[in-house]
Order: sequence, then structure tokens, then C-alpha cells
Amino acid sequence: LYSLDGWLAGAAIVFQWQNMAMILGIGLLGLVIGFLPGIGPMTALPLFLPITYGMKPDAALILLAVLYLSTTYGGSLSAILINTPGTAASAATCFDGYPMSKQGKGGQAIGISMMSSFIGGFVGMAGLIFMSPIIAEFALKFQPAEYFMLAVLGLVLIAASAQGSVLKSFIAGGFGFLVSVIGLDLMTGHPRFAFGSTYLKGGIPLEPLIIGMFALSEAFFLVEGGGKTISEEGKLSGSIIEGLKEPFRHLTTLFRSALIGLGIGVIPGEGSSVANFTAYLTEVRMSKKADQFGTGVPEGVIAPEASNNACVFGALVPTLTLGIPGGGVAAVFMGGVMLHGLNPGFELFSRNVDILTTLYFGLIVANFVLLISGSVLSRFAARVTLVPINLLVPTIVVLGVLASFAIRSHVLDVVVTIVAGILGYYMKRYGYSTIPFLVAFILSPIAEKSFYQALMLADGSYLTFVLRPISGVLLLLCIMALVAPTIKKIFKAKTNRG
Amino acid sequence: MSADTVSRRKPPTTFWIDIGIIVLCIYLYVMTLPYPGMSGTLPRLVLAIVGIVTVVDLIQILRRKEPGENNLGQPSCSPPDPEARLHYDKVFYLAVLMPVYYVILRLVGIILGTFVFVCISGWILGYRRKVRLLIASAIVTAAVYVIFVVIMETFLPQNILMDLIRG
Repeated sequence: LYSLDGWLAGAAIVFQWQNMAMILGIGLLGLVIGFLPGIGPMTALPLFLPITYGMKPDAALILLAVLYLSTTYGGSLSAILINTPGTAASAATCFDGYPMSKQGKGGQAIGISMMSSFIGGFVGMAGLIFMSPIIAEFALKFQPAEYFMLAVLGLVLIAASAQGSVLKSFIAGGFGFLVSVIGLDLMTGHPRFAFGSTYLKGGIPLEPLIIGMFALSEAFFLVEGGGKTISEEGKLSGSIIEGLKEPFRHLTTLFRSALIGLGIGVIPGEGSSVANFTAYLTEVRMSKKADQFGTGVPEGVIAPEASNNACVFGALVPTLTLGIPGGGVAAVFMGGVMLHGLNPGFELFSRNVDILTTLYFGLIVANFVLLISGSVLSRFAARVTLVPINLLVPTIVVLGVLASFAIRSHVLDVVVTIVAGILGYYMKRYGYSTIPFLVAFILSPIAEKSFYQALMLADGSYLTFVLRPISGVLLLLCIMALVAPTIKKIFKAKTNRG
Repeated sequence: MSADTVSRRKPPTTFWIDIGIIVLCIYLYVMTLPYPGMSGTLPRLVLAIVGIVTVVDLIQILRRKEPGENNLGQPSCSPPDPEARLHYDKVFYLAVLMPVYYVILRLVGIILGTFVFVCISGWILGYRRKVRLLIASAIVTAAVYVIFVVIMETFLPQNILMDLIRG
């Protein structure tokens, strides 16, 4: 499939000054766009799609892929510095990245994030290049019953492992599901919980909800806290260089998380937003110092960062090999591929291998460029934590309101953002984690669609979720995830008594 | 804990939140009953689970052993702090300022709207250095304009006031 000549030809194209300038320029721009709360690859890629019209296919694909990668990188910076993930793919980075920033280790957290993303990107790249046919074949075995159980497993894992009360996390997750079903039911066309509103019949959009729940609710907490600057020490300590070295002290976490990200990315429908949470929670469960997660431990930044970048590449596996987009952004990317007369699937791998090798090589170079430029640029971005809170908060509000409006130019999207901001603030204030809410919101459309499809395929028999081998295993994992904390508690109590 | 102790203690805010959630679940459950086909199946299932979980949570709240004991895991149960109350006022101001920004934006456009909003909200939230506030507002406005208008070419709210002046 891939030949040395092909790689050399790809390298020659990538190293043309125009393409190198594009990788650098789009990479830096993507970092900035990703830094903006709520504006991630899902907003940036469609906006850049028209720009690629007049470009050669290989350059166009490199542009879109670099933008996808760099916005994911950039989203982590704001997650660490202002507890506001630029994209949902970086939401889990907030848990430990922001506490590190508050402890004056913002630079170190950014270094960890950059290096973890870099290595995660390479693991993902290796998966994309060498394992794509095998992984894509396995993903093909997933039928609706498996997709449903996978979504349920994601929800259970997240609710069971969320900070604070498990019961409240389940309640929050339940409401996340209910908010996501607002609108027309895709199966029957019947409006659900729309209260006669035309806007609600179209469903609640994800981006304004994310901006509100993460960006605006954080603005409320910043104001409530009453501090002068985000950094409690008032200055940044902990070098980026030190942070760049840190992931190498946690190689197991690094590679485990990258592989989780790659695996999740390959499964169509699951995306970076699920990957970063799953990797983080897996790390919490497997770590001996689980109770320290959320207080600013390096592993808490390594896990989501390695996974979300590996996931970016993972999502391209089914997109390029089978023509099945791995996620929303991958679907836009696939649109870009088809826009240039290329057909994803066998044809792409047989007739256009030169374009693929150029794309792969471009991504390898972009990964290096982003590591270097990101580390340099972050030093300036880190200064955000020294901005007075009463100036930072209006800036977050301005960005949040404009970003939510910019997505669809709909006034009610701004209302959704503001309501979500207030709701997110009160949820967190009274112990209802917003994370299960958001994850349930993201997963429920997949879960519901798969649920109905599975039942239709099985003539209405619920046993399909138990009897199908992969689905059965996933169900077993769900039960284990639910029961494990209780068993652990009983054992702990017995040990203490003993 | 005796029933007497429970009755004498004032229920925490989370108790009333749980009661509200249960009422909401019942209301939404009834709402889904006329949904055709399988439209209401999963929502009903989720509402039932949420309702049951909330009842369990409610029982846990009522069975708390000591008034100060925290099974909420959040600052809501910490004793009221007068300083925190003061900041809570700012939270209220911010909640009001958010829709105000959108209205200003519609009236005078992105440049003037953003500049005025950052100045006003910065002042209300306690920033008192006038010159720095003006400079910061100008920087934020310029950055927002470059990002949303120049780079992303985003369609932003129309300037109603300018439209009226132009006729």
C-alpha cells in the first residue's frame, strides 16, 4: 500500500514553502481559534471548507487536517488557563489542568498538554497508517446493539466516576439525555418537550450549550470567588520545559490514554469529547492515588490530552478507509475529501495513495510544528491567568455570546448559552456535576437511534443487547462499573474492621 | 437519628431541589404519555430512573446524621459567609449583564457594543482604574473584531441603531 517512493514524493510536496507556510499559519490560527471557548474544529472546519475550493486536493486535505489538529491543541490551553475548554474534546483537561494553573503551575500544565498531545498524535498517526484496515474491520462488526451498549457504558462510567455524589451525577446525566431529546423525534417526526416552540422543535444545539455550561458558568464562579487573578499566587511558576518532560515519567498513562483515544476515534459516532473523558476516568480508576485526581496531578492532564489527539487520527481511519465518518468533524473532513473528487474507501487507497501519503506526511510535520509553536505561544497565552478577574469575566462573556451567535446566527442560541451558563453554575453549586449532563447530551442521539434500530433488527426482542457477544461484554462492563464502587467500599470497610 | 430530630431541623436547599426534580419528572412523564410509537419509550425510562434515583438521594439527605455533615460534596452546605454573599451579588449582576450585552450589540453594533459592555461590566464587577479599563476594552474590542469579522467572516447581529439613523 505505502511505498518509500510515495513517502518521498509526499515529503517533497509537504516541504514546498507554500505548504510549510500554510501548515505554520493554519496551525497557529487553529491554536488561537481552539483557545476561544466553544469555537472548535466543528465551527472552524466548515468555515474553511470554501477556502479549499481552489486548492490542490493534497494541500486542501492538509489544511483541513492541520486545522482539525491545531484547534484540538488550542482547546486545551484555555481549559488549563481559565477552566474553559475551547472544545468539548478538552473538557476533561479542566479537572486537573486548571487546579495546576491555580497553583501557579500553568506553564508546566501546558508543557504536559503539548507533549502528551504530540505523542498522542503520533500514536494516533501510527494507528491511522499501519492499523487502519484492521481497526476499521473491527469497527464494522459493531451493530446498533453494540453502539447502544457502548453509549450506555460511556454514561455509566462517567456518572459513576464523577466528582461528588454518584446519585446526583446520574440525575444530571438523566437530564442531559432529556435535554438532548428536545425536538423532533427522528423515527416518528413527533415533537418532544418542544412546548410548541419552533426553535425547540429543531433541538438544542450542542455548541451554545457547551459555551454556556463551561465558559459562562466559569465566569460566574470567577466572580463569586472574588479573587484578583486566576492564579492564586498572582504569578506563573513551573516551566513549560519541565512540563514537556513530565509525560515521559508516566509512560503507561501516556500510551494507555493514547490507545483509548485511538480506539474510541475509530468507532463511528464516538469522538474526542468521549475519548478525553474515558481516558481520564480510566486513569482515575486505575491509579493508586485516585483521590488526588481533580487537585492538579500531571496524569490528569496527560490522559485526556494524549487521548483527544490520538482520537483525531482515529476518527480519520473509518473516514478514509470505509467512508464512514468517525465523528462530526470527520464528517466535515470527508466532505472536503469528496469536494475534491476523491472517493473515500477502496478507491482512495488504490488510486490516490500519493495524496494519502502527502496528507500523512503533512500531519507528521504539523505535529512537530504545533509542539514547538504551541509551547512558544502558550507562554504568552499563560499570561491570561494574570489578567484581573473583573476584566477577564467580561471578556469571557463577550467571547461566549459572540461565539454562540456566530455558529448559526440565531438569537435564541445566545439565550441557550446564557440559560446553560446559569444552569451550569447552579448545578455545580449544588453538587450536580455538569460533565455527566454534557456526556449524556452528546451520547443520547447515538444511544436512542441505536436502541430503536437494534430492537427493529431483533424483532422487538430486548435480548439482543444481552445475547450478541460484543454487546453482552459491554453490558457486563456496565454492571461491573456500577457494582465495583460498592464492592470496593464493602471490602474497605471489612479491611478497616479487620 | 430520630424522626424528632429530622422534623426539628430545617431541610437543606438540596432537599427542595430534589422535591422539584421529582415533581418535574412526574410532569414530564405525563407529558410523554401521548407520544406516538416508540417516541416516548426511552424518555419515560430515563424519567423513571431519574425519579427513583432522586428519591434515594432525598432519603440520604433526610438520613444525614449531623446537621453539618456533607453528602452533597459542594459549597452549598458550608455555613453562610457574609463575604461570599457580597460576591453572590456580583453573580446576579453578571447574569443580568449577559443578555444586556446582546441587546447593546444589536443596538450599536459589535465595535461600540463590545467596548461599552466591557467598560460597564468591568466597572460594575469592581475594576476602578479608569484608563486601564478603557485600554482593556479597546484591546478586547479590537481582538474580537479581528477574530470574528476579519478572520472568520462571521455574520454578527445587525446594528439596529445605525439602520434607523440611515433610514
